[in-house]
Amino acid sequence: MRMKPWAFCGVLAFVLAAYLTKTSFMGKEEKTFVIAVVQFTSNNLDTLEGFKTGMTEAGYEEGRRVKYLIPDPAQSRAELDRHLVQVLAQKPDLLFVSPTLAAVAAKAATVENRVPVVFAPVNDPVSSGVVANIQTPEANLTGVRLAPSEGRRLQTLLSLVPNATKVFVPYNPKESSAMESLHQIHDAAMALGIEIEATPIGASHDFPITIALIPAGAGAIFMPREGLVMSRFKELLAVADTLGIPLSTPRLDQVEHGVTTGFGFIGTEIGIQAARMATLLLEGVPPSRIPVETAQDYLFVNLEAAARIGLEVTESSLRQASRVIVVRRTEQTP
Amino acid sequence: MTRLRTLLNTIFLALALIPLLALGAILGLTLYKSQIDSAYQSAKALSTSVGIKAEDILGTIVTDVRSITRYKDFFSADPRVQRDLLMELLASVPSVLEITYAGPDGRQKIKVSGFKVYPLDDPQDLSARPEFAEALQSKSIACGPIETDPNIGEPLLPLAIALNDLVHGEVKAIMLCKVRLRVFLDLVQDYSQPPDVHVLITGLDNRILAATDFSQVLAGKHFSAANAPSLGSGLDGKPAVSVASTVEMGRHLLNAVAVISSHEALAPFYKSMRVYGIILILTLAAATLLAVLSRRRIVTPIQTLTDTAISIQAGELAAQAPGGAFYETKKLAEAFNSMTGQLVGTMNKLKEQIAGREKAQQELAASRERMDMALNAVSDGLWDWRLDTGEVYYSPRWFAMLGYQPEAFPSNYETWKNLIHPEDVSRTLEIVGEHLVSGEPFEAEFRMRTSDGGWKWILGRGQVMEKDAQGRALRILGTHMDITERKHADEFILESKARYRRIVENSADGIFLADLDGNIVDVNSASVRMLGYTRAELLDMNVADIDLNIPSSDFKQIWKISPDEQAQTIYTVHKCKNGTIKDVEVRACRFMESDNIFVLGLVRDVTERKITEEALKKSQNQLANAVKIAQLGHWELDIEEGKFTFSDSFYSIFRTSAEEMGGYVMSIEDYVNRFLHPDDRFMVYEEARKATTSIDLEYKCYFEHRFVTTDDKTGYLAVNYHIVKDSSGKTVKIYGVNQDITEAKNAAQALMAAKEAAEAATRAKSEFLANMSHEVRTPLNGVLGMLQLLQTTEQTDEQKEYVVRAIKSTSRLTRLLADILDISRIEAGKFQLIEEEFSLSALKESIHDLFMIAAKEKRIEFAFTIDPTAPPRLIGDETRVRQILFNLAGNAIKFTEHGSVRIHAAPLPSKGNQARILFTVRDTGIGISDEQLKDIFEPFVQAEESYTRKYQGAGLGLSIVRKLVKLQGGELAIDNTPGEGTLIYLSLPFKLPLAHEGQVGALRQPLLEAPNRPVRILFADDDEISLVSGKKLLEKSGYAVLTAKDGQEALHRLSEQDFDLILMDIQMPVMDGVAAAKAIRTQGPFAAKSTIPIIAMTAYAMVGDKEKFLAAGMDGYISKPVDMAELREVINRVRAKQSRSTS
Repeated sequence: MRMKPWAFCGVLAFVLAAYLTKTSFMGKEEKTFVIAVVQFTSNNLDTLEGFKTGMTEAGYEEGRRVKYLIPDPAQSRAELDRHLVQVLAQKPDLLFVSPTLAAVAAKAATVENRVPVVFAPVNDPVSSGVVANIQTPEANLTGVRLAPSEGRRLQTLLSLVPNATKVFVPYNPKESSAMESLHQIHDAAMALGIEIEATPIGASHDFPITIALIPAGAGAIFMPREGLVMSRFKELLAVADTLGIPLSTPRLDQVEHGVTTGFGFIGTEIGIQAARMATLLLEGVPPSRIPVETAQDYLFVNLEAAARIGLEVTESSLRQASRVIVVRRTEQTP
Repeated sequence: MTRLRTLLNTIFLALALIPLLALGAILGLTLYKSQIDSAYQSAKALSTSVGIKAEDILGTIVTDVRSITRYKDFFSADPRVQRDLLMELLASVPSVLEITYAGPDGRQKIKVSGFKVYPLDDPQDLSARPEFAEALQSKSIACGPIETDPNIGEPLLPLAIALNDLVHGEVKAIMLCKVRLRVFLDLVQDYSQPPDVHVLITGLDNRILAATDFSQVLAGKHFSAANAPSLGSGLDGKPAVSVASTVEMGRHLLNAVAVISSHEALAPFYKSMRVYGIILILTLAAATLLAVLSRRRIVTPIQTLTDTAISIQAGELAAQAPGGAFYETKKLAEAFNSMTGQLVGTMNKLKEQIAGREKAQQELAASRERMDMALNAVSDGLWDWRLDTGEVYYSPRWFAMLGYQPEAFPSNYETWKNLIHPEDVSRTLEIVGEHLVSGEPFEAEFRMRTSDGGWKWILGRGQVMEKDAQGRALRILGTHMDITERKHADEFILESKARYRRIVENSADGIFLADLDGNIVDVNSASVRMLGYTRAELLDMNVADIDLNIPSSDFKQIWKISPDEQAQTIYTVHKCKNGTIKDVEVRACRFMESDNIFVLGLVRDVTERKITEEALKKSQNQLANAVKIAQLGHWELDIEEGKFTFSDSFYSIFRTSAEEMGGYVMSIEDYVNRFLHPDDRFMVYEEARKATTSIDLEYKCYFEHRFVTTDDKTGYLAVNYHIVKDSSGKTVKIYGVNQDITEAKNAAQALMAAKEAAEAATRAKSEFLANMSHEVRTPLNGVLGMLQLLQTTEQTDEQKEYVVRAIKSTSRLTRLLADILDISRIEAGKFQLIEEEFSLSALKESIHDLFMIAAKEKRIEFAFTIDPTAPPRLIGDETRVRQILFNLAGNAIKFTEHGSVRIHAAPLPSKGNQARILFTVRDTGIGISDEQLKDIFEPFVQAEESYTRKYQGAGLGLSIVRKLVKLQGGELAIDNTPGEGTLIYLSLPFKLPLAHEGQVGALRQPLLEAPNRPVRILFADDDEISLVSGKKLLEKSGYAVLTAKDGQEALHRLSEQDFDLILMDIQMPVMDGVAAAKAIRTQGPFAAKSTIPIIAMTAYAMVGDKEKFLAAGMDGYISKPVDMAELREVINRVRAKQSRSTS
């Protein structure tokens, strides 16, 4: 049936009026974003906590403006790949991954769909192949990397044992992060005038970590920033305690669990830092316009651990420390 | 011409829109300006606030950095202390990444960083940096150009802070701080309200130093504020209001910028405009509504009346004009409608007349059409035969049926008769004739020729229609029907029946037909053959008579309810006429024929097949058992699908089942992740890759790898597989068998460990023996030396006897040592035979000389004779032959108290250059009993075994003899009578030398001319007793001897004096004998004496030691303990060789 012109004009006028009324007097409907979180090992749960806090502070409240897909932390590369396939099948708006291995896996998994990825932390995103350029990441990944501060950590360790002339550094020769750490440590050792005794250790968990491994005259033990050595910090701590020498780690939680000193990032902080980048991505800024940022490092000292080996921490070191652990954190049983 | 409707619409719209549009424009412009001004004022206030906060932040940094001067001794402190203080400062000011402490001269003193380590002595010159110069000049602070740190990729603000003398105001130092621009991040985040309100900190060059989107900072973007109440370009290039305020620390350092997007700034304006738009649209709608209402009440009736008039003008007389709401329009419409009503009444009458006429014509046409259709519907041909006139009418269809044109033949009886097939004419005419008599309607089937020469079957029907008064037929009317197809169908059915009968009869399987009661109604020949009954016998039988499993009652029950033509397969047994029972497969079905129900069965004799199947089943069971016992599991890999298909036995290897794994198919990844040991996955992938890429069509492979069971146990698999390729050569499938070889592997590993342990024990034993030999021989050498020296002195007879006995004891000890080593070597498989030519008579002499004295002492007869036919020279290991005979002769003398010991050598028959010599050793001693005989060849066993043993010895002699004989390929036999003596047969193989080699032995021992002076010997040995005794013995033998205690001293002696020969011990302190010999042979200072003969005199007496020392450059070798006579012989031999080579 043919509509009469005046009736058509009337309907059109009504629709226009309704639209203008709606846009003028009613608010916009907010979209709920889906963020998938994939983690390798449970070492970075505090980072995730910081990330969620940062997102909430930026107005992306969980359950209202954002929904998280969080599988259990993967324990192997194969499991990581499986988790990525699972979460990507649900078409998330953003992927938050930590640490390096998860970022490498996420890059491979998002080659086709180009889902934006925020990583935190990654030790060296360029050498690990996550991004080619930290200023303008050319792919769909950006995030927070760690400062190249291994040399500075060596300096903080030596400030505890100023008379040490030799520092023992166990490392995994197959890990690129360890090699980068060694490079920084060697540069710093030259500036500080001390000797580094770097010893490769086997990847097997049966590889014995005993006093026999520690070279004669070593005044301290320095764990480079890589997974294998740090995963055996308790054995290294036992050896260090037996020898009465301090142990250094880049992780705050390990200092909280008895390691003498540490210098590195705080997980919740870099999580918040990553959340700020995530909000930019959700607002439509392409990852290539968001340069990779660098985490802030802090000094941690465990006075109880120092006392255990008879080490007197100088007042200067305490003044430099941002976290001083006086009582060891109680082990939590899952 | 303007229409009334258009005029009214225009008037209403103009009245509504013009005032509204004018008012809207004026109000909108005013509101726009007001909002821009308001946004500008807000931005200005915001930027000012941010500027003040930024000044506070910078001020805090400056204050913190200047606080370093509170440490009174900072400037005079040790650099290490200064560094610690600066690091404390750095830790307390996290917004500063680096601090460089420099003197007023610009020389860097200390530099500390949050992530890097700088050496203390790194005297950089900072005076050229602009911020340094500016701070120094202003004695205050200064900012430098933004820098990006290459290590962390972050922009930094260089901030130079002058530290002044509090009293004099002079600049004492400049602290150059690298401020992380992130320090302003919290500030801008607090004041920004994205996405519409942004706050920035920019440098003097307008570079963005802090923004909520920190990437803009890292990317080095610039932004210049408009600083005017107007819309400029915002951060994202969209219109915005922006204002910059200065950040000053005594001087302009930075800018604080506030940017408010047009969206935010003009939000009230936009909202007002929307409200205005709504009002405008509603007004427009109201005006339109008024126009429409006016038109409906006034214009529409006039318009309708006009349209009605136009319609009537066009011929539509039924058109009626509506009255309208007004009087004038109503009356006008009534008059109009009255006129058109009369006109319409006249026209309707005319139309009715025309319609009646048309209806009559249509009925006539329909009648004609139906008649034509009836005629065409008759497919039979019609004929009408007037018997009285002979005329026949043939209808067109009659002709067309046979393919002829109508009227193709004359209309008479002959036409019909001539077209009938000759074979059918008489029968057809006979039927027609009978009809003429009976008068009953007739039917006859006959063939008629068609126009193309063929024949068609026709069914002719006819009946007399008229008769005369006598009852004779005058007219017959009939039809022809074409029944050719029906006739062909009947023939086909008959042929089919015959064919099926033949098939049934020729079928190899038995076929039977039975009714529901099981009574057999038909069978074929195969059934007859199969069962042995005749066909007639079978047709009298019931199915139950043959089938032993189905009674007739069951038969009916089964087939009564079975659906028609749905075949069932039954395996049963049939009894033959001769009583044999046959396994049969019956495939039967029920079918209806002429309202009767039958069962049709196809019977196949499967007796042979059943036997074969049972055999196959048995074989499969055996195979399954074998697979289970051998722990085999087979699998199939579909390469294209990437799927494994497994068997139950395969899963059982992994302690699981198909049920647990969700079926027999699994992806490659699942299989690898579930069952393969992680360390072997790469190896398995490589094997799979090799298989899939191999171009060998028969590629087969075997390899072993570890696996992990579902209960996390590790085992070993042996994998055998072969590949299948498609026509293009691409590998499509792999078939394989896995075998659990865990137990075998574990056993092999345990065996290997045991073997290694055994070998290690053997090595330890050999090393022990070597050390023991060396350590025993060294003191023994001293003992023997001293005894030999004692022999050279004046002694009483009693003393002589003691000395002789002592020397014998040492000899026996030496021999025992040699025997133990020999046993050890033989058991270790390291014993080596040396083949060289020797004289049989010389062998005889050496044995004879050795035992003659002992025999004389025991007052028994001793003889060694050689058969004259025996070859004089032989090739073999003379030393070992002598050792065998030495042991046998020694035993014979030892165990013989009276009578004789006789040795005889005689040749046995042999071929070519081979010789076999039979040695017999006969004694008249105590003999050996049969019980003892089986043990005496074992080590450490003697025939006489008691604590009061009469005969000495370790019991190794015969054991070695047996092993040596065996090693040389000889044989040993004992003929004995206890108490009457023993006869031992020993046969040994030798090679015969060639004739010209007969003189070689003669050349070995040249006679040396007696020297004019004593032979000068340098004797090196670290064992003092050996050195003293050896020196004395040599001197007593006529040699001039000088001693050395080690190799080094020997070299020293040699460099000072000339010697004819060196006796060199091997193991010595400072320098061993081998090193000393090498030095003599190779070093420059000894070049003139490098050829001096050197004899190794050592306690190293293991196999290979002699060769080792000779290879090290020595000319002779004698093992300790040294017999002086033997030593003299070696010295002579070496010197003879030396003289030959020099001459």
